[in-house]
Amino acid sequence: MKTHRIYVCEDSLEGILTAVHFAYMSRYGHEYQSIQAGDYAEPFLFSEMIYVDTDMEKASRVADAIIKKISWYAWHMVMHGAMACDEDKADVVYRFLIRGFREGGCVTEQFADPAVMRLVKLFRAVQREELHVCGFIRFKELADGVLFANFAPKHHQLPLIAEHFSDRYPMENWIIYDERRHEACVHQASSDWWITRDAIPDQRKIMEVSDDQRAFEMWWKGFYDAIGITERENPSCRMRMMPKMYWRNMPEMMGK
Amino acid sequence: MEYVISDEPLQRKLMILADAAKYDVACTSSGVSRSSGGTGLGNSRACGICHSFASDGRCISLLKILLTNDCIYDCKYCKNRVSNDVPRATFTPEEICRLTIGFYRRNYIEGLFLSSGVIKNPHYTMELILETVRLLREKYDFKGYIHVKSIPGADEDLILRTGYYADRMSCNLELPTAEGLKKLAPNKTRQLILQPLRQVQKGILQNKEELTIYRHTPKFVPAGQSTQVIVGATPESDYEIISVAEAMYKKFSLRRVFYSAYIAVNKDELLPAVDTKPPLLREHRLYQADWLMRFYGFRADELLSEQHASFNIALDPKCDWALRHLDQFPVEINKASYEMILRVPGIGVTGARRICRARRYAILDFNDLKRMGIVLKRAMYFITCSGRMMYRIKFNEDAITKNLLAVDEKLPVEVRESISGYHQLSMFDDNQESRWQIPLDPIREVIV
Repeated sequence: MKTHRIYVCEDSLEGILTAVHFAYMSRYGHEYQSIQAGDYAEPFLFSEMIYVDTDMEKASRVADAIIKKISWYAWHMVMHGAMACDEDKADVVYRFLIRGFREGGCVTEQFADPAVMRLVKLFRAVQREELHVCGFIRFKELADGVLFANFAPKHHQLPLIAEHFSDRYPMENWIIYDERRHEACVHQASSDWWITRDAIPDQRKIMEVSDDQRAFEMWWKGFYDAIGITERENPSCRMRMMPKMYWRNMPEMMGK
Repeated sequence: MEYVISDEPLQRKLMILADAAKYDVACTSSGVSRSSGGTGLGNSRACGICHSFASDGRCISLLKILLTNDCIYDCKYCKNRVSNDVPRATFTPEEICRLTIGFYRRNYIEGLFLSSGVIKNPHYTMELILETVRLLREKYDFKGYIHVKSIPGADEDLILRTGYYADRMSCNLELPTAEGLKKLAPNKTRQLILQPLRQVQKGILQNKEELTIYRHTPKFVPAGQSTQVIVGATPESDYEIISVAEAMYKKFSLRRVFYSAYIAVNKDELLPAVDTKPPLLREHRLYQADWLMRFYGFRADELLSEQHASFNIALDPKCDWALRHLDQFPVEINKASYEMILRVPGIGVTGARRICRARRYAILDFNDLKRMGIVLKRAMYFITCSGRMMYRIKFNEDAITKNLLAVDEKLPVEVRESISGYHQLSMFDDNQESRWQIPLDPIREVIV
């Protein structure tokens, strides 16, 4: 009887891919190994914990292999799955990849396989939130003209939405701040974006908004109140489509 | 109106013209994918993005406003008709641009939806609309979504030029039939409304040809056209309405037909009384049927017919169809064609696609289906996996109808009460071993 091995890695896409690399290279047997992302894990009895340091080179080799040997779509799924907030996501990705490297590109169609379906579920959940976030994020214009937005998504969304917003506002200086993970995505006008970890914004600075900002918030509120049809009022439908957790940052929902 | 109209001029205009635009249903920002390319402002995603949801639960994706509500027409159903005493306002093109850009930068909206009453004459109105979209695209380098109305009666050249700036154009049929329109909208005719739709359709076809030859030809109305019909203002049946919709999809290659439950805003002997409730459930059933026609391969005359002219309000159109065609069921999940699986109540496009892909690698059973995210509460009565049904049930119309009615769909109280009445009756009848009749026809006659 072999002892079970648990690879503990950093909670990031690179970390998980590095752990996958170690798990494969050990040739210990997939059924005796699992991967955990993040340091929440308590050491289990009868199992050996292996702490894995993130290695960009190993991670990118695994990423290349996924794209080449499985498919671009599988990589898309893995990327989203690794951003999920679920604790077992690293192992879900690992199990999916085991099957994927064996079956090739068609693995993304094998919905009857539990390993595939678990990743599909994560992928869909992250994607759904991504679409919510893209719609419900609200920027405010600070006194110095910078656009600032804060949000607190369940899943790790910044790396996924950064490209969308940098394409949308290429000529603006903007910052999106993830309150839950204390990360900020910073974009410089007609330039690139980057993500800073452990960032805390200056509270005083983000409270000072431009005069235009007040006017537009007022107009937007006015528009929102005018556009709803009283005869068709349906608060439960609104709540379902736009959960209350997003209302906090929306000027039109202030005081509702 | 509960909200206070402020004195500030732009705020006042915005409130009046947003309020006047709210009866237009279309607020989708889908159908076109475009990158900003690193300059200007904005992009567009083919799936569309909802930015907020109004108190009525409808998505707010675009800044939906009228250019003006100062309309010279006197359409009986419209709040902005010339004979109504309502506050009037008109935006200048610059004002619209300012609002659009300001809202867009803050990620409040996906773009602009510009409709309008007819001010002075159709040409003048269309010119103002063209000027607005031209400013947005050329001066402000705006690359977000733009949906504009083509004004019936405007010069063809103006409409075609607008089409090169807009993503989607629409022109509302307003009433499903020409007679209804004649009665309620004295200044419009069916002919007049179909004209811009036809012109834009021709433009799109021509543009497609040009695009195959010259890759960089500017795109003309890339997200296609849509239209809207009012439901419940005139006595047309559901069958007539979906037949009109089907014809519009076929003849004018429309992307969408929207249905708008009539909200009684005006008093007139030709219209329903002012305290009539909007027929929301009927509108819902029409949308369900519309989806069936667009994505599920149903024809209008399969769903309804002359004799059977309105939808069952207690069951959705797909269940209703399946119950009338039980000879085609149960369907074997591992063998049936994609088209047939699509026709199973409770299985949608995603589900059917997943089934067709997954069954290439494994023989599916009910547990697999559950794991794949197929909801079986409706589907289980109509499918078999390897020749077996999920439970042993009586495979006849009555038994299945009874079970389907028990599946929770939020119906209005009146409908729910009428159905639960039948339930009790049916239990009694079941014991008598007599045929349990669901009196669908009386339910159909209830005017919602």
